Amino acid sequence: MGVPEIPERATFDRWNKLCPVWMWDCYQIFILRRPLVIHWGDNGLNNESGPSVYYSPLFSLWHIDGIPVDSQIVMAPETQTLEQIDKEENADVRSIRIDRFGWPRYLRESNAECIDSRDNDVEGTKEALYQATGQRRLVATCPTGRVFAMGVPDEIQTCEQAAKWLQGPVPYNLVTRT
Amino acid sequence: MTTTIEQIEQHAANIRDGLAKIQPGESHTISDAASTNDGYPQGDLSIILVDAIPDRYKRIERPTDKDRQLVPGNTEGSRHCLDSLDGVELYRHEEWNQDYDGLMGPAVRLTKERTITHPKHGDITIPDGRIVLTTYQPDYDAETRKTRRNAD
Repeated sequence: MGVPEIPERATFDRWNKLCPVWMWDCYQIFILRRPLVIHWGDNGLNNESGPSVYYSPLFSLWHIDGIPVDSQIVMAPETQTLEQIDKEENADVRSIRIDRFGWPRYLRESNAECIDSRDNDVEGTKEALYQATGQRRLVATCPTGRVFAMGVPDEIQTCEQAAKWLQGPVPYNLVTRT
Repeated sequence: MTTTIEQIEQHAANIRDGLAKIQPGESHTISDAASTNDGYPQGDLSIILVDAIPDRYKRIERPTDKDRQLVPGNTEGSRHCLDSLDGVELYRHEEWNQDYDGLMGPAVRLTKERTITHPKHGDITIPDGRIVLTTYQPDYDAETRKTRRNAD
């Protein structure tokens, strides 16, 4: 590669082996030594409560489900603003941003459009179908007392259709949910 | 005036506080009179009464304790577990493997009453002599993300 054979070359090569990542821009080169901690998930780097790759207190990488994110999304998602979420161009990151911000809060604060709602008497729950930021969501209470906002395809028009779709591949007569 | 989303959040709070008809974590026992195709979702696991083990399912000859868990994964949410394998014939879809990400869960033929337990959701008890098929709730976000990954 045109690098001269000088005595320091071997030392430089050995040092390189300890620095697995090189990144650069127009002005500088960043050479990273081996990280101290790496967290993996099913789809790549993943840590929902800290850095996915920790190098030092001054530098870490942050990923959720293999998607690169920033430290705010991981460590303080509740401090995001609607503007940050709505201006996010990467669809995966936007989805992660809202998941961590909280769908019910996002739908409430963004005045999202409610397409349909119903009291589900069979399950004793309340449901509403929302359209927000290009996604359709069935928001429903769960018998555990939590609120879930589940993604459904765009062609779904009613809560009943959404609930049927969420039943999965084998339709059934719902008796009760726990 | 409260919005729909606020009503939903209030209803969830009522459930947590014991002020609603349904109680958090309330268990359910399937009646002997229950019909084929009746379904009992336990969170994102659907438990469906069927007449026979479905086609394309193969029996697990020597199930281990690990097979009591009916949903893959090591999160709290995935811990939908049979209380015991005593009196249980366990079947899995022929495409099932360690990395299976389809929606067809195990099928179970019971010769003894068994309960499917979960740390958060109410237990569901199934009478002896019944066959149940389990399926998983579709995860639209994960599907969409996978589609985008494949397109990259």
